[in-house]
Amino acid sequence: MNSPDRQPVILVVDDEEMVLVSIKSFLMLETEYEVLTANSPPEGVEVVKQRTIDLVISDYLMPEMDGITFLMQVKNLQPHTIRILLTGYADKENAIKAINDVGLYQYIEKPWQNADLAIVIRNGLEKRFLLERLAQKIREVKSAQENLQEIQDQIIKAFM
Amino acid sequence: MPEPAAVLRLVVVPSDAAALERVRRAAPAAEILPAGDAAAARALLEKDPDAIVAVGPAVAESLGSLGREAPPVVVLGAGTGSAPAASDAFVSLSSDLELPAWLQAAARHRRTQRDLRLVRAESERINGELVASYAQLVQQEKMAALGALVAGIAHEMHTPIGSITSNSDILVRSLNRLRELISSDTCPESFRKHPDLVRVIGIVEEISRVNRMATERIIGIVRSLRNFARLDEAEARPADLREGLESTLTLVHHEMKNRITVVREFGDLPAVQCHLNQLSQVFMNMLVNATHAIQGKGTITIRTVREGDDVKIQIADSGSGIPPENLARIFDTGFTTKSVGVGTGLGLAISRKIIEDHHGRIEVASEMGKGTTFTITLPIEWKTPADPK
Repeated sequence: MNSPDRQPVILVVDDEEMVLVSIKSFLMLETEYEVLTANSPPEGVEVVKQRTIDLVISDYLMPEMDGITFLMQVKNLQPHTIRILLTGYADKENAIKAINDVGLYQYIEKPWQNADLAIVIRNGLEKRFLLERLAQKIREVKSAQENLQEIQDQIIKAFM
Repeated sequence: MPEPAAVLRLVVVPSDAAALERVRRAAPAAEILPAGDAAAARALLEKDPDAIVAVGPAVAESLGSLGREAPPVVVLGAGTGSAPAASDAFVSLSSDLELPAWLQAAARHRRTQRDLRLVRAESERINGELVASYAQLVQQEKMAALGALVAGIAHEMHTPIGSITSNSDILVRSLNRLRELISSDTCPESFRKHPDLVRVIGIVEEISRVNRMATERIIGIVRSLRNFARLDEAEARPADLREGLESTLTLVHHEMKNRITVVREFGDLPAVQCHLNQLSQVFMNMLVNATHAIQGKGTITIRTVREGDDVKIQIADSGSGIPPENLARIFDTGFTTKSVGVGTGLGLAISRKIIEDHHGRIEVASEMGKGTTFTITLPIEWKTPADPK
């Protein structure tokens, strides 16, 4: 795995505390991620406004707002955050539709397996950091190109 | 309907020449079956005569009662003009000249009765079908309601089950971590070897293992319930029948427990066009019946086999068997041998209806004391594209 320069930040949003505790406990035990939790989508939106989130896991059925709407808001606030939907069997079809609409990275079915969850999160983060690094490289190449252009201009000027 | 000019068939007692001649003269067109005495006349009833003609009141008396289905008996008087003296049960004619007209009326009456009997049998048959259809309708409504309930419950259970599954996994992982910590050099020897610590870790390990088994069982049951009451299948689609059988077996597990061994002889089956939830109901019915048929310990063998364009599912039990006199009626609506409150007598009738809706057939073979085998034959694909519903 590409180890990032900083500690990955993960946000878990579910209206059920038991899900939050289970996932947070698992990730705290097995990973070095910083795990944030929110008990409702509005609470989650507040967190996304304040912190850079690398990956977000959201439940689908929640009282105030469904998971897809919430992930849409996350996408508007932080387009590069990896978005994962946690869904019950009955909502599977909605989830699959949403993969295209919201640009979901993955959906996970309840009841989930920790090992699967770990792999999905790890791969998601890998994608996130690869893209970040790619953006960084592109910026570097661009500035190098600009420098090159400048030198070229100077050379041309010197010969004129 | 115009009456067919049928030849009347008459039993004539006694069969002496005078009596026969007398009847022949009165009804020249009739077919005559001579009977020497009352017993012979009774024996001739199986030839379905239109009437019995008794010549002389004494003979009429000796005939006695012939039963409700018997043809009418007419008594010709002992001599012309003499008063009839037969029993009240029979019609007595004072003159032989009245015989032809009476015979015609009697024949008409007989024919009407016969038609009525046919109509009654037909209406009984139609009524039986109606009851079966109605029962199936009620059953479908019940299944739909149950399905909605089960789907709701299964959905509600996802979150807590997910949490419990995850937690027991975390428990195992935490325990492994704890074990690593304890076995490291930084941990004092006295603590590492402390008998209480060893015991507590052993207990936690054991209950974690059982927790994991328990949650796996719950997940399996919820999945089976979901499969069994599948609502999202309005039309028949190709499905794996073994999946239906396995789901059903999970649900009837409590009926079998350690008492009954289930032997699976599953041959390779292609996907079969069906409403899997309906077929699962049939499997459920067969399996529950099989468990009821087995007293004490026994075996249920489930076979699946492909035969050309058909598949066969056999469910055989090592139970008490079905008496031959009941075997022909077990698919009839309302037939049951179970006590009130146990059997409705609708299970097998509905099962047959479901299988017929699937263009298949269901057969039964049974031997007393050895067991019963139900064989369901289903086409892999329906010839008619139309859905029966």
